[in-house]
Amino acid sequence: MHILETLAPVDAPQGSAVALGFFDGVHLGHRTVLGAAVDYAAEKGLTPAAFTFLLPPGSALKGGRIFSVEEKHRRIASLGIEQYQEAPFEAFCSLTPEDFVRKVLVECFSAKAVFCGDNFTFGAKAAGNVEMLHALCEPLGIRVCVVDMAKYKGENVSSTRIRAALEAGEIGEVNAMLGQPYAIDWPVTHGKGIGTSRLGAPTINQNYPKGALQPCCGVYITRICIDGKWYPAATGLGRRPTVDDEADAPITCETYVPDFSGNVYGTRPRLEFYEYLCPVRKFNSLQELHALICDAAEKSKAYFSKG
Amino acid sequence: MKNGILLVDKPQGWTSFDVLAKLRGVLGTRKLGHSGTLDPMATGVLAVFAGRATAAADRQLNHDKTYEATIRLGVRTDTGDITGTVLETAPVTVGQQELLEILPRFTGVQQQLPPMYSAVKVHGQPLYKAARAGKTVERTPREITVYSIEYLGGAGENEYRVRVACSKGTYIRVLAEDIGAALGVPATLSALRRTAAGVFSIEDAHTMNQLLEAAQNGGVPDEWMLGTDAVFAPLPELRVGEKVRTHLFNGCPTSRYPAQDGRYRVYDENGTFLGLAQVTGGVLRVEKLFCERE
Repeated sequence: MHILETLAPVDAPQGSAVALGFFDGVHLGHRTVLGAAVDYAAEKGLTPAAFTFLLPPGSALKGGRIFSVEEKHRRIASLGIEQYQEAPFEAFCSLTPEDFVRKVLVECFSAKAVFCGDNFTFGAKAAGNVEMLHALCEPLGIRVCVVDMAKYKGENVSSTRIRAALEAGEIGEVNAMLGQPYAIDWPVTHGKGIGTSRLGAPTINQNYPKGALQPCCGVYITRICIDGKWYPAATGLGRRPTVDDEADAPITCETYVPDFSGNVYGTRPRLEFYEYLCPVRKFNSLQELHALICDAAEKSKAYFSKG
Repeated sequence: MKNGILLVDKPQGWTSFDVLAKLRGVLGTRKLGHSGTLDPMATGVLAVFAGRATAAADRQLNHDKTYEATIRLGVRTDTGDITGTVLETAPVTVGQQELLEILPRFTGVQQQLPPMYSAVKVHGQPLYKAARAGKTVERTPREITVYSIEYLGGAGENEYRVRVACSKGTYIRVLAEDIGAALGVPATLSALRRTAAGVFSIEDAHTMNQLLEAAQNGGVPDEWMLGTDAVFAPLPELRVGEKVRTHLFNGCPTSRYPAQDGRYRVYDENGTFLGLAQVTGGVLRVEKLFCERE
């Protein structure tokens, strides 16, 4: 997938089929929109493309973003999008709906068809909606395809709903709505070294950056990809009352990988979440904490190695 | 005559062997092999090894595969895919929601029973022979790994598309049936497309039409044939001089060779890929040559 970070013409010699949206989470609904663009492009010999935007620096997505930019790109690319434009918000936020269609869809994408969800808005102050998109595109010969909201348990799938499920620790529901397990890839940082020195269970620390949504605190069955290989793991997300009982102790995300030992500081391994095991609580001794970590790790190994 | 690896996008309805049979004429060589049979129903990347490259097929470092599969719920057949004879149908009481909830559980190492309609041999006989005679043979489960499984969307009534990355020897037909079993409904595979096989990807594959057309217009272009060294890309490279080259061709070890222990891709001074060699304790030995001595 070719990623363009400015508002500029993309490489689409035969024209493109463009998916429009912010795609945070690349959930079932987004997958339908992106997949429809890819399928249509394949059928008509067009370039499958997506248009989205970068949030202005310093502003955060309401509710926090579900994925890192890189994880979002990885998932969108895996669906078959070839040209991906992620323009700075300021570059096009003042465009009227008419200008948006002309400058972005026609001039940058040579769009032959556009795909979006039925809640899509565009142009300055989100003045354009789906009806307007139809009205503006069709005279130009651009096909507009509005994709119905994806449903899960009878209700619409949305990024907001996924954030709520993440905050409630309902990782099974989250993964179902994402169509693929929830994953983080934050850089590995140095912790306090307690896992190594006093617990006998060294952990990989991948703390959430500002602006990213933190799932419900607790212990999870996870797996982590190091040097292309997946390892079963157990992840504790939250404060660490047993080793740090300050009220304002930082929230950490620590992963114990029983079958791996090595230096991964500074790398960005992917960590996928599969099941919520239990909340974080204070133990009387490090031995009890150690037992919990080992037990979670055993459960994880069993989860990824069946019968 | 061509040497090297040709990536073919296998058409539906062809056996993997049909592809080879056709390519014998196209490539002008009888020496052809492929890695990883695709069922007749399946499409997608089939790596065809031609000439000297045939010996590289079973020496590939990476045998992992990626498939896009369509699973149909409510039907089970004798072969495990839609081309078989229907054994069971049932009303479908589950949908996308239930499927989405159980999919993550299929990630990881698991035991898989090879299907009766497969080339797996039991007591020296391929299972499909017994299956065609209407018999069922006792099989032992084999260990496979599903590296990832991703939901791609609905495909029709009671049909769902998934992408599966898995280890060598994984039968997606069986995975589809196992997913059905976990949902409590019969299931079968209604479409299968292999998008990656080892280091090879569908983007670099050619359709049979393209190949047949090329054959009529002066032959398959040389740049379509990938070098044998492509499958050994993760190994370190070694360039050898004329003398060592002769040693390698004679099967003669070269002692006091200044390289770390390990397995190497060996090239001559002109950059021609010679083959694989091992260094142990400073002694360089040929493992396999993929180049004519000339």
